[in-house]
Amino acid sequence: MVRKLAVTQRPEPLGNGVGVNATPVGWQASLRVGCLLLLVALLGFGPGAQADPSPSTPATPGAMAVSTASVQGRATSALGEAVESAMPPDMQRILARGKLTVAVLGQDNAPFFVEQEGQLTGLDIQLARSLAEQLGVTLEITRLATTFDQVVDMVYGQRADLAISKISRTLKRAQRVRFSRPYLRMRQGLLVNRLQLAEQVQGRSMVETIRDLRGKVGVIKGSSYVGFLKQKFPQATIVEYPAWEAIVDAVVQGDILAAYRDELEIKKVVRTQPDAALQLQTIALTDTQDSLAVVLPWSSTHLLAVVDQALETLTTPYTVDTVLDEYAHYWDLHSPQQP
Amino acid sequence: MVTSANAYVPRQAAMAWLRSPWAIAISSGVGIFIGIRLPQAATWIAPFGTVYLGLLKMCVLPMLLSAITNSLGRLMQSRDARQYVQRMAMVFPLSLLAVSAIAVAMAALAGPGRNLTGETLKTLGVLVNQSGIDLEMALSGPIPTDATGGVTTLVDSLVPDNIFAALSEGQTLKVLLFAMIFGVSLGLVKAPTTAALFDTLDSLYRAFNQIIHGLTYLLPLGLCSLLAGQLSQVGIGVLLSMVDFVGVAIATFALVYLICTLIIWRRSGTGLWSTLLALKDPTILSLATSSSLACLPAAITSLSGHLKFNPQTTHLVTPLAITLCRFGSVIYFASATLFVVQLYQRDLGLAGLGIVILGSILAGMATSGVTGILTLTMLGLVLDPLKLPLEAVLVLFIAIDPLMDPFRTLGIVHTGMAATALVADRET
Repeated sequence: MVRKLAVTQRPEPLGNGVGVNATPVGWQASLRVGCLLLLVALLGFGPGAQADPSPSTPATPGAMAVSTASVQGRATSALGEAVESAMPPDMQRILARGKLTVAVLGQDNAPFFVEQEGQLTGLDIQLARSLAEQLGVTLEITRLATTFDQVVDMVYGQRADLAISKISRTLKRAQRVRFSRPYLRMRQGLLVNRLQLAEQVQGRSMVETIRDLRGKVGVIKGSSYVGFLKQKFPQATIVEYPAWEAIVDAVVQGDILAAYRDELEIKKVVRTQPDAALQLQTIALTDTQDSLAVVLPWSSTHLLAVVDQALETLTTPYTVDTVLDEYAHYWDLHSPQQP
Repeated sequence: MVTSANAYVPRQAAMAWLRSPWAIAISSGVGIFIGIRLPQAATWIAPFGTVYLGLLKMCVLPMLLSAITNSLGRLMQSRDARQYVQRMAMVFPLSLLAVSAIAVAMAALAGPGRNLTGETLKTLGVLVNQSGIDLEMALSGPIPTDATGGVTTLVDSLVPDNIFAALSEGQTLKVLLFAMIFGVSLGLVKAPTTAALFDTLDSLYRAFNQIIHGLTYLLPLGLCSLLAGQLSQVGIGVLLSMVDFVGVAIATFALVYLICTLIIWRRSGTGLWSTLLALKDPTILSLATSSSLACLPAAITSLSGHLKFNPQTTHLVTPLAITLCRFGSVIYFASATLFVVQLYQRDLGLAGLGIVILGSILAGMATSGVTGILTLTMLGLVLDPLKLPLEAVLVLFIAIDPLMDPFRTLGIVHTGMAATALVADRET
């Protein structure tokens, strides 16, 4: 499913327009053109990908360094005044365009990104808005990606400046893109069927029982929690489901013992389905992590610093509970699917 | 002693009116009105209730100590101790079994918690969520130890290694055991000097009884503020969602109350009306104070004073029945367990029902050493063997407890009195 919001999605690589403008260079063109040249040079930095038709292979640092050196030499020799616009290329690109392109998953995920009465809202959207506001540019949200990994791919391919889309920091993703500091630190959580758990307790404490968890535990097929489950609960039987809703239903029905995901999704279940709360126990694992962060292209080092600083100056750091409380009205409006 | 009191109390008629059923009825009415309609005012007058309850409880430990030591000591000397011990050994277990079975039968027939509507489940679920019962735990590191111990805590709370510590901390069970051991040993001392100690204990008891008697004049005031305070704490929304359970539990308490009243009436040999009048004070006190200990003096006075049961036996058996047997808690746990069983749609079978009956007795008796919320956690003693989860439903029971506690206390005190009436003989 592809949805476009705010501004129409532009399929062509960013900065193309600037490149076209730059072709008719005449010697008579004065300072203005020199500036443009510098701009092109700077933009050529990260978006070596732009020259390359395949977005998955960005320019090598070596090639970039060469182009920078040559263009910089030209620019400074032409006019020394151009120094004043020597912005970091990743920032310059956004400011020149006057627009921050943010990738968000195509499918709604309350409370992070939800479409309400034609308006896109949510925690991630608010973050994106305040970022764009602080940079003094407009915001464009592109929702072409249908999986979280596709969102990461979009950023990697520079089809977006960054992504704020409930993306978890994982080492695998960190090999290709840069992550900001976490804007929401979560822990891993378990959603346990109380009756099934009571069968297992056998005089032990709840903590002991959970540490030695046996029985069927549901995880989303192909998600990072498959690996976590093997690592944290070796005794448990892994049951992979294609969709989260199916896992929750199975736990409520008692078909499986527990569901394993981040604590926010876990707590969301008992909030959206209060009639099942008597059957379900939510557990947050305090010594585990699942942190959400902004995703940036590996070359956007300066933008990363800006984003980090912006996140640092957030008035109130988010926690799972404040997020759930603040966005509780989403569930009142969107009546959840009942099992 | 009444003559001396007259010197300070000018208008005897007005004072007597304070003890009449009318004063009680009016003050309870006012208390209920304030509790439901003016919760703010209820918090203002709550301190009066607390003071009243504090004064009552102040007398309990000295009375417990003196009454049990005295009666047990004299019983040992009179040599018919064996007979009473045998009767107690018969009456207590049988009556516990009886009330537990009644409660299970009532709950099984009425079926609270069966086929709850989605709306009700939602209200209950919201309540469970609000109470924030998420478990936060680490997968590594030391395992935190649980505070609740169940049967072991009961055993631990029995033997006092320091009787003065037990007295100052108000550990009733330890004081009880000490008083019994002390009473027996005092009775075994065949020296004439013990008579002086018995007399001292007797006058100690009478003095505190006098205080309790005087406090009954303040009962309307205390009643009003205690009832208002209690009712203002009950959440109406939860109450409506659990209305079938609350109804069944109260009906069970009412049935047991009725049976016990009949027993006391038959055993006392007096008229029905005078029996009811004699039972008025402990009944109202239990409902108003929710503290079985605070009602102990009134229960003893009612049995030995008004209904003319043998004082020695009454002084010994009533405290034991009320502090050890905890009939009200047994009834409540039996009803509550069946509610949970039906809520989780578990089919128990006859063996399961047997576990509920016995487990409720155990859990009910285990509450004798504890107070407050810990009382309700003893429900785990029944639910654990049935492999039913406690945490979620505990929240629900805590929410309705301001309403259920008075009835539970009434069940403890009144059934304890009936058990005493079965053991004790009438004074001739």
